[in-house]
Amino acid sequence: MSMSEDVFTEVFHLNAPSLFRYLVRLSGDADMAADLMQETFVRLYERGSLPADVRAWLATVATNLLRDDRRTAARRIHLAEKFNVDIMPTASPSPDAAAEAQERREAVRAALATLSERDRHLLLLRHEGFSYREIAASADVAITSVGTLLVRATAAFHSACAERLHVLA
Amino acid sequence: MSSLDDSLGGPGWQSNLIRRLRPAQHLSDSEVAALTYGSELGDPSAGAIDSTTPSLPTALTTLALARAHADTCDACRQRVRDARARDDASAMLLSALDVPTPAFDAAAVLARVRTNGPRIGHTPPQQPARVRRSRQYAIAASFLFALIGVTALAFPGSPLRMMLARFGRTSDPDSATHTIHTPRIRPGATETMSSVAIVPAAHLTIEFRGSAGGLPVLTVRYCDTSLASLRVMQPDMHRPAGTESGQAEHSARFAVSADRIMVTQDAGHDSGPLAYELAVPDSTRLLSVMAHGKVVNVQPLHHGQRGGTDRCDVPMTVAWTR
Repeated sequence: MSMSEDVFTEVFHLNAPSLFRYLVRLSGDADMAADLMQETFVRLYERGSLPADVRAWLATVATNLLRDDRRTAARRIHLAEKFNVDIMPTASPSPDAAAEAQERREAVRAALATLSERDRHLLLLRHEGFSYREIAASADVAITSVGTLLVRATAAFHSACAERLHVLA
Repeated sequence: MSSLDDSLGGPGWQSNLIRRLRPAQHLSDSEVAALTYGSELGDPSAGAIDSTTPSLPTALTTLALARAHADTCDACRQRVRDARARDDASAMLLSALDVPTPAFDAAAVLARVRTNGPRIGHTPPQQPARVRRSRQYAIAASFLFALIGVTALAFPGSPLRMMLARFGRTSDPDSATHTIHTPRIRPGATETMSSVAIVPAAHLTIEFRGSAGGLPVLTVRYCDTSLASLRVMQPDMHRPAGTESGQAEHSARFAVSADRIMVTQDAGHDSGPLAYELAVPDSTRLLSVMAHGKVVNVQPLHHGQRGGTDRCDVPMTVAWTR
């Protein structure tokens, strides 16, 4: 299916937030996630036509870009343009709550890092609402293996979190 | 008695079949996955079995047999419960990594494509040295002016400061100053209640989890505040939960993260589907609805319709039944 600017804009608005959240969870860096998300959509536009499975394609390209970005020795190129950011003011948490949230965030990130790259990818796609088919296409695994791999990845992640947080049942 | 018994007649049919096909075997990981993520198997080609599973006619037969076995085996039933609990807990844990989602603009992407600006993974053409130096001087000059401006602003009696204060006082007199009372929300906290509020970003996700007696219905209403609030409504949709009886008759557990509200509907609810009303501010431009880990609806929100009510029915399907 060829892609007009209108179609691209609609695809962008429907998928950009989810892709951004996926990249934030995967990378731990909101700025990097925003950069990579934009680059992914640039490549989608330059492709000229929509892929058969848009979400899987976006997740695959974004994941590969993150992997390549981490591999390069050179300093990451910062994009000159800024997004039109419109973030509502959030409540200032108490120092205790902020410290607890930070500790939790670090524990979850450390737990995620104990997984293999494939399992991390599967887990995060699952919690972005991807279907079995989309997960299989993006992670390049057999569709019949997705369920089993997810159960095991979830168990490993949960166990790793429990070790660090000491409060999970 | 299961539906298999009802349709095929006579108790014991299942256990006989299970004994024939799987003499002394508990659920495999793939079968536990099938029962945990059951909705994914609506499409037979999705498959619930892997290459190591003994061949069976269809994935749906596998699911039915797995469910029948879980009905008769305490250990396997507990494994499935544990897998579902870990799946729910993982969603909560991962939300700790979230940050507010900015309002992204497709026009910025299109402009980048047209101007061939700097790109990740692309090496931009090297500019002449003279042009590079001019740019460096411009950046240095901008920094110097900014530093002078900040320094001037810092002094109490500086003309710049007085000018800015005067500008602030003469700003639009019609704009009301809202004191935003934002509830203290602890990520991960789950309390049984009738409503919850959040300061949302441009993209808000409502995620439904847990067992439910029917299909939840979500109604979206635009509001003038800066908070997005989600509350449980009575089935007749005219009264919020707990307004007359003094307690939450129909309630759910809520958990929030940066731009997500997770709703776990309480089990044992037998009065039909719960209805929810979501009030959203102008800043929220996209609503995603998920049911047990699966996206069921993505809806752009239309501004300029204050006071209007768009009805967004959440099409729960097999994903919701366990």
